[in-house]
Amino acid sequence: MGKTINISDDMIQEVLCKLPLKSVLRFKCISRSWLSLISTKHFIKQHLKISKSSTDDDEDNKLFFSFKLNQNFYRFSGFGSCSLGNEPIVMTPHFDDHLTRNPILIVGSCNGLILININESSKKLLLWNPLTKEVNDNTPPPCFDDKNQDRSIYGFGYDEAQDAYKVVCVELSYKCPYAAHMYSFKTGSWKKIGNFDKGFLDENHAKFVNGRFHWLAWTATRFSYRVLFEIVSLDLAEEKYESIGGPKCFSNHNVNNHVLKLEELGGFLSLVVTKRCEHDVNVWAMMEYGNAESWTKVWKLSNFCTYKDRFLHQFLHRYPIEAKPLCLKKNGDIAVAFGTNIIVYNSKNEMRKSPINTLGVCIEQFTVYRESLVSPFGDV
Amino acid sequence: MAAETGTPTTLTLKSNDDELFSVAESAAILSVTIRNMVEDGCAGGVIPLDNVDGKTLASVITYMNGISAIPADEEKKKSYRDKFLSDKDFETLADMVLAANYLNMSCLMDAVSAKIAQVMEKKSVGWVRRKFGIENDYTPEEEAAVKEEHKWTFEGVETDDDN
Repeated sequence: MGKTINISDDMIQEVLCKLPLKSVLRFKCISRSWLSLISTKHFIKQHLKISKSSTDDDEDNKLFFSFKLNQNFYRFSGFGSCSLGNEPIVMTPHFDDHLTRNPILIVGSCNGLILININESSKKLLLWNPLTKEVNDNTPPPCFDDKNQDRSIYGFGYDEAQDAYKVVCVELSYKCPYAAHMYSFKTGSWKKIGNFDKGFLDENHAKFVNGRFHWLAWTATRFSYRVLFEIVSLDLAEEKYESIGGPKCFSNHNVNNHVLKLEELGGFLSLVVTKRCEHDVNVWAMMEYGNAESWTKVWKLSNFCTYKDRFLHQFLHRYPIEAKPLCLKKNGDIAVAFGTNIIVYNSKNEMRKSPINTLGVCIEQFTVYRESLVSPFGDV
Repeated sequence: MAAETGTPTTLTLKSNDDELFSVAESAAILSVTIRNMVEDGCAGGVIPLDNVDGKTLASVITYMNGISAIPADEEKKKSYRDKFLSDKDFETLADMVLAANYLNMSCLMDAVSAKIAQVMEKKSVGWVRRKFGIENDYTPEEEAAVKEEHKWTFEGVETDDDN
């Protein structure tokens, strides 16, 4: 046996924060002092910082999703996750004991934490780390007047300036402006923020990109059927709403015959545009955040029935289902879900790059995340 | 100083086992510890480095010379560091991380700790305990519980190679 080395905790930490998560978790078994070192907030933050800066981070992308399941004559909702990296896509079910008959919503994810909204007797927010399996269900429901709660939309993100995970909640009502509230996991309380007065919102949750929340807001021009949209962002620290330019071809353009959905695809603010009556999907992504000139059409699926991929054609013919873009990688690859299947495309030549990966369940809602040690309970 | 005399200044470093090394000042000041001594004007004679042995210091000086000969090109510096560390065994790496810490050389510290992490990645809990001289202070019940909780992380662990 070789000699042993005697290095300080600081140096051990320096080494451990460069290890993959799997090794870090295994080394929790070394001793009590290693376990407590690995569990400190300081270590967890440092590990997160280093794994975020690694260049091949797209390989660590994971998909977290909800699905429906029929069991004993009841319809349940459950959760699963799978990798979107190079390994084969295999589903891991989560939360076996959390199959629920109540409606569930995946609000979003940030730094390996996922915010879920379960509509039980009142709205319940769960903050969950699927890697460490820690769940924080102590988040108080929004304490404001709850007559609009059923039609509230949320958003989940991280405020770097205040080192706080935050939830935004907008109460959708039948007239603008909407009341808005912000919850901080650091202070453990809700507070009212400025009303949302930039237009009408649909029931999609806010997308968290580049430290800000984003919504698609609609305005109808008077005396005409023209419908215009605007992307509105909210700064988590200053709580100010701002408009962000969308793709030029849509500016001041009537989008009546299109279905638009704002998404966060692998860190890119994206617009998924579907033409009504046609199976025609276009995905636009803001390649450089904040630069309206950088909106790029990154993927399109023209009329499903004439699509050049013969195998897909047969497959879609049998299941005429929605195409759900999931994640855009920096190399241009894009993962798209069709019902129970995930297919990876090379966006440059639009060709299918992966085999068709069957999950066995139909993805309902989803969020793309990267695993971390971050505790849903905040400070350790 | 170098600029005044026109010839590069050389420093003499002394390891804790009394070996003497001479090294160009421009390379040696990669170490913040040495740079501070030079700036404070106490680098006139021999600089004693009480926490570094001769073998390790020789390696560190090879690194100092190698990396300072590379112009500001992060790619090339990185590949030099990778090559420099590729043939070092765990004990040498451990000595180097201590030396890098004492000499306050953040680039070497980062590279060596990343290399140690790479070596450790697939090692067993027992291997790490032996190499780091860590006493298992868990009770058998606690250890079983923490192992059970992280069962999946034991997949793909290499068989120990140090016996």
